[in-house]
Amino acid sequence: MTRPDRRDAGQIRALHCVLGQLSRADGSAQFAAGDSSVLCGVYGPVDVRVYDEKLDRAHIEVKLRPATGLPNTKDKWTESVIRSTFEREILCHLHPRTLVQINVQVRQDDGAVEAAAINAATLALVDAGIPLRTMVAAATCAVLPGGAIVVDPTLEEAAGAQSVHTFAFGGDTAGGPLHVDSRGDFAMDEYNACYDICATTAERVLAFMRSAVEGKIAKEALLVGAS
Amino acid sequence: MVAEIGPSNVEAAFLLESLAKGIRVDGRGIYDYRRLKISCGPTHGMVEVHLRQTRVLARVSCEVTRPLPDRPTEGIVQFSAELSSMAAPGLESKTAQEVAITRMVERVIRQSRAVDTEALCILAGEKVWLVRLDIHFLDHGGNLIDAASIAAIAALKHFRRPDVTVDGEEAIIHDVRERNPVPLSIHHTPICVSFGFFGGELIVLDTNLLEEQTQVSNFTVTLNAHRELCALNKAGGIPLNPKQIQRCIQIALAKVDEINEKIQEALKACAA
Amino acid sequence: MANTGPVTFAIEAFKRIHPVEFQRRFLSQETRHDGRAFGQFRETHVAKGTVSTAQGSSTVRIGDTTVVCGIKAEVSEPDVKTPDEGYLVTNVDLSPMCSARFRAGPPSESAQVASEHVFRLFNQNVVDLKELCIESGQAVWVLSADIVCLRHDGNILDAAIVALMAALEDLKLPQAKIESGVVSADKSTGRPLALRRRLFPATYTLVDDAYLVADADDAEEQLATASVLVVVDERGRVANVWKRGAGPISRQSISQCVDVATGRVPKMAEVLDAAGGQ
Repeated sequence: MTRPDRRDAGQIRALHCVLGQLSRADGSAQFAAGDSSVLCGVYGPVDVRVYDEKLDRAHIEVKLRPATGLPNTKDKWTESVIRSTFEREILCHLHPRTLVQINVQVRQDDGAVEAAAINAATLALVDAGIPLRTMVAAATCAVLPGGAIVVDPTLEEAAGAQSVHTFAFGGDTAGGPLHVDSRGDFAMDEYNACYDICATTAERVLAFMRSAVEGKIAKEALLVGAS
Repeated sequence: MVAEIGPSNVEAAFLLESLAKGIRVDGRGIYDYRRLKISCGPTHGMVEVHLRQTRVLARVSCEVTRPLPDRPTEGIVQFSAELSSMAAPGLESKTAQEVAITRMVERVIRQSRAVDTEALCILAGEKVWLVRLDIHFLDHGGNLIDAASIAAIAALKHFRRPDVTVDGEEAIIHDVRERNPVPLSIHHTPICVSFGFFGGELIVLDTNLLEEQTQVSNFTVTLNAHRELCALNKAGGIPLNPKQIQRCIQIALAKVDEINEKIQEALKACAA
Repeated sequence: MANTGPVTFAIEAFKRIHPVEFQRRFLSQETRHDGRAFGQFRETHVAKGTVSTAQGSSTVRIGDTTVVCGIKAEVSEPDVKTPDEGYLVTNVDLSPMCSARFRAGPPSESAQVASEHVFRLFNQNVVDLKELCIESGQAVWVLSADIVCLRHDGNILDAAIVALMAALEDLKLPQAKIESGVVSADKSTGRPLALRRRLFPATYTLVDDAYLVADADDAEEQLATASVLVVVDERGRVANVWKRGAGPISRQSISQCVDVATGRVPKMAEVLDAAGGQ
């Protein structure tokens, strides 16, 4: 089977990421899969509004801005997904009465943008030095009419798909997924197949993110050594 | 999140002392612009501008819509620029600072009628193009206004909309893969150049963050490539000598030429 | 410290002072505070056509959770890009009336997320927007579905989905025709809207990180660390699996939830059918 962009069914788009490019944020990362690109800036732990203050842990706030137009309920939905995914992965109890703010800017949405946003948030949190339990990685796949499963669908592929499945995993995949959103018209066999594909894809994405973080740290160590 | 506090007295005093000797904290001359980097793509109408730490992303997109009832032969230009906490901690929309910056950018692009709206008409009274310009402030390292205006103009020039052929009452909108998309018709390219004042004769061009937080007044000159004055903005602060204003305009004229050249270069580079 | 005997105090006080401990006492004994088994759902009651001013309506009660859904059909111009498609607009209203936890004012995040999720489930998946076309490029129906919660005792999403489903089945679209640019609708005659599929939701909630219970009530939701919403249709196909919250729900558990939800379909279909209508 050939896809519009000539990828194989199991092939993800080229990944690209840059860490720590923002000067004002405590940590930042840009994550791109093909033309889907997300920038994330993290502040934390910082002052929290009295209203949001929690006595035993940090409050997590996610703000998402779409590529075009003003934020709407669709973006609120994604914000809530990102927050719930990271709720436990961020070690909130280490920073009581503070705020961890995750700002997400979608630069371009060409499908699987929720997964890209989760991956960007992981990298930005790591870059900000926020203590995490594990690194979170997310992946999306789509079941096309006819039953073929394609990984990392573009907007065009997702629009024509029978169902679209997004999973996010923490470090231990055995504990179950952190986030699941499968929607459309599908059978459980298809769901399970998508689960397996997304789990392996997320592992590969995680390896990519790890090497990006390692690369940045190695570079910084070199700079420290030189001075 | 709680908004940040300004620079410390020591920092401010150091900055002013150095400035009195003609030295800026980042080593620039007082009328030097920071290194301007303009990157386009990957899609049409997407441009990111860097002025050192300052980063602004502009996106132009379009769709077909119905015209406004009182302007049946004109397309619509929609504009949105909101500062968010992405750019700096505690920044929120609708604060005085946010409104000052976004109003300025909106005035420059929309009210100076940079985009030819009549060229956006497809079928009078039926279908017109709606062009959206979204400006995302990513990193606030000072002088967001200039960066935003450069990004906006470059994005409008970089943008291509699908081609349309009108056959009687039917308008056919060609997919971009089918027929080459066409650029927007742009009347002129107003660009902002901002100055910071520190009292007396101390003037600097293109303030960085620390300078912006320390300045006592600022002044923005908006000029187009034809060397015409499009807007001037000085909102309060210390009084200025008219001579200083003229001097600023002279400097801005030279800078706008340079900036326009940079934009042309960037557009050429990504077209190649 | 002489008294070493068991401390006794009113059960209501215990529930309020130590909500976690209160629930744990039941859950550790494999039962729930309202006497249900872990996998047991509360009874669902559905009544169709409960709001006479709306074109389609329903009232749904799941235990003490009560929602009313009213669908208003209005004529509007279609979008230029989709000249033969109408619109569906969903709005879930969680006002201070239904629970002391909600504040008056603009919709809370949870209300917005619920609205959006319900919209995604029904838009094009259940409601074929082309069915809402009156005259291509001229006039289409806009279905505004307002889902108002009257009493919030947990599992609002299931209630909202059942209510919207029932209200859509109750919907009578007036006969509309367009004559020289003017749309006239005859409200006395109406046609039902053809729906693509029938959705049946089931929510499982992970309480205190350890106990996965079906159809949690408000007290249990307060201690929830994760939940999974499963939506299946009458053909046994799945429409949605949505896990929220950070708590661990294993892959097997999610599969089991889907199996149970599928098993419940005949009974739930009966409830929907028996709801009658106008």
